[in-house]
Amino acid sequence: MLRFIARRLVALVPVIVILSVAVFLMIHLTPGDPVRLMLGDSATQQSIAALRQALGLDQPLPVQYLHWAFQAVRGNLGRSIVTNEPVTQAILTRLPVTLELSVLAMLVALVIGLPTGVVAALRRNSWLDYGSTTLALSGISLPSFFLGILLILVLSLRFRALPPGGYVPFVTNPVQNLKLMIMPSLALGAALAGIISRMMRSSLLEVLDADYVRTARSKGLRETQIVVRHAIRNALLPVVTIVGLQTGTLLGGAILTETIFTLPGVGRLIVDSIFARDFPMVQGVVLFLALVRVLSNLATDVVYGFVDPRISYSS
Amino acid sequence: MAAQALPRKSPGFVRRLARNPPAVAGVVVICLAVFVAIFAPFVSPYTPTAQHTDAILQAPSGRFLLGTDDLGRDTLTRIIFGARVSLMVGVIAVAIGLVLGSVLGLIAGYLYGLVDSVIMRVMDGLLAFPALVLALAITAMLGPSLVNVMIAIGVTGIPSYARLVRGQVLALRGLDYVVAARSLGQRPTKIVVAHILPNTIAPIIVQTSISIPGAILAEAGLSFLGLGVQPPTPSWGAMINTAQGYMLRDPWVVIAPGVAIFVTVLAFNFLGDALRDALDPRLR
Repeated sequence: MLRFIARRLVALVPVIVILSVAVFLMIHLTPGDPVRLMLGDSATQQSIAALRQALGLDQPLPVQYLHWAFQAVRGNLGRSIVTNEPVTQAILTRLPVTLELSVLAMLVALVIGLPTGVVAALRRNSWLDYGSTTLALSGISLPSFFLGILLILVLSLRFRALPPGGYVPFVTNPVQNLKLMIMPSLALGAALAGIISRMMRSSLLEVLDADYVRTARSKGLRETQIVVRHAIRNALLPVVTIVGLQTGTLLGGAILTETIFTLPGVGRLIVDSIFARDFPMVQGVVLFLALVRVLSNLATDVVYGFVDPRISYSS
Repeated sequence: MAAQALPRKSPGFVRRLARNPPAVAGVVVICLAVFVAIFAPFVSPYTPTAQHTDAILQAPSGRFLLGTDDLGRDTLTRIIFGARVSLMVGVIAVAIGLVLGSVLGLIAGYLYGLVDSVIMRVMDGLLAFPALVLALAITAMLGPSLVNVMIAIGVTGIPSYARLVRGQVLALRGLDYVVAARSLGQRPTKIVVAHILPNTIAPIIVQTSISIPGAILAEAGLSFLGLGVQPPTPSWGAMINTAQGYMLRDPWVVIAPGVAIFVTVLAFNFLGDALRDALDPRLR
């Protein structure tokens, strides 16, 4: 297992290099002078020259990249040109909000998706199955930002059951924190619930047709025992993979959800930075989110290896 | 000698599709959306930018079937014209990903070796970005516009097609008829176009049916954030963003474009599911 993890980490190096080059080149993709774009039309020649020098844009491109990459490896992603706040600090300050939202959304998705997928598989071709499949596809087809707005419209503005937006840290007021996170987690988790439900259904149907399940039935085990003790556990394996690989979708969805519910997370940071033309901040956040996704994919592979002993990582 | 029953011919692809009610409903909705998008100026009651100052934020009525927005513009008209934007982005963005991704996948899979390694590592690098984050970053750098949204969403689709086609090519290049063609001296381009490409069509169709709804949702999301199509061009996502401010007073201005997105994406998802089943060789 350690050798597998080491091999995967080594294989990650070219991927990280390529994505770092892509992120670095983003600022150079902007049509025209990126420094002028950041400072606006009223910027003086001195301020433009000063910012160009501060960002290292007066150096040859390979030198710029190496300097930037060297600093990034040391955790220095530059400074915001709007607030002068270190990019790394800005991300770390807002990360707990995005993390909490992502974890809660994942919980919502599992709580809704797993049982509906199991029911759909066990009641195949019944109205429960069709209803569950339609619900799952509806969750996938509904834009998260629209679902969020509907939730605000109904639960906040119409029935005043929940606050419409904002954030209070969990350690400050746990009850208020959870009340504020209910709608965002539902909005973000709905699509993932649909994906999990469909994957669980498909995977469980395959497992229920397997020889060992047929053997268990012929040995006289009750159907509930077969499903709970044998089928579901094995059917969960592909679901684990899907859940891990959906980190990217969650991070992307968090951008929209945090914007609607005015949550001060990393997603909202990137949107605010784009409108402020704070390109160093945009670069830093994009790099961070990409690294999170890469590492979460690695973690998924490792977890899968632990969960499924058939996978031989030493071969 | 007893008569032997003739082997049942498996139903064709179209017939299998036609036996799936959700898929049929999906096709009908998609055809309706395409029709409305193409003939928008003829089917819509007004022009999308026409402002009726005597009917600001009006509820649905005989004059304005889905009401009006804060500038007195007919919501139904803007939804009809918004269909143009959504479908155009959906099709063109996916086409960008399909063409570029397929070419890269074909080259990587056929030439293999170092070329394959380089192309696939670049694709892995692109896949590392969450799709919306990458589209957001590209749109931010290029500037918000319809064309840049198509480019941004198209670029996010390249790795999926590249990996799909590469996988197919790797599976096919070792088959007897391909090896025979190579040993007969056929040029690689001809082998790829005549023998390999036709056998990758089915998975490409399935991938496209998954990609189009994703592209429509991505465009709606970018426009909602203000980074997509710019006003006064109507876009479903932008309409939802604008209507947030007065949605308690006039909820239909938010609900109508949201339902339009939902129904269109759901239709494509129903069709995509059915295509996957219909094109699965194990089910023939």
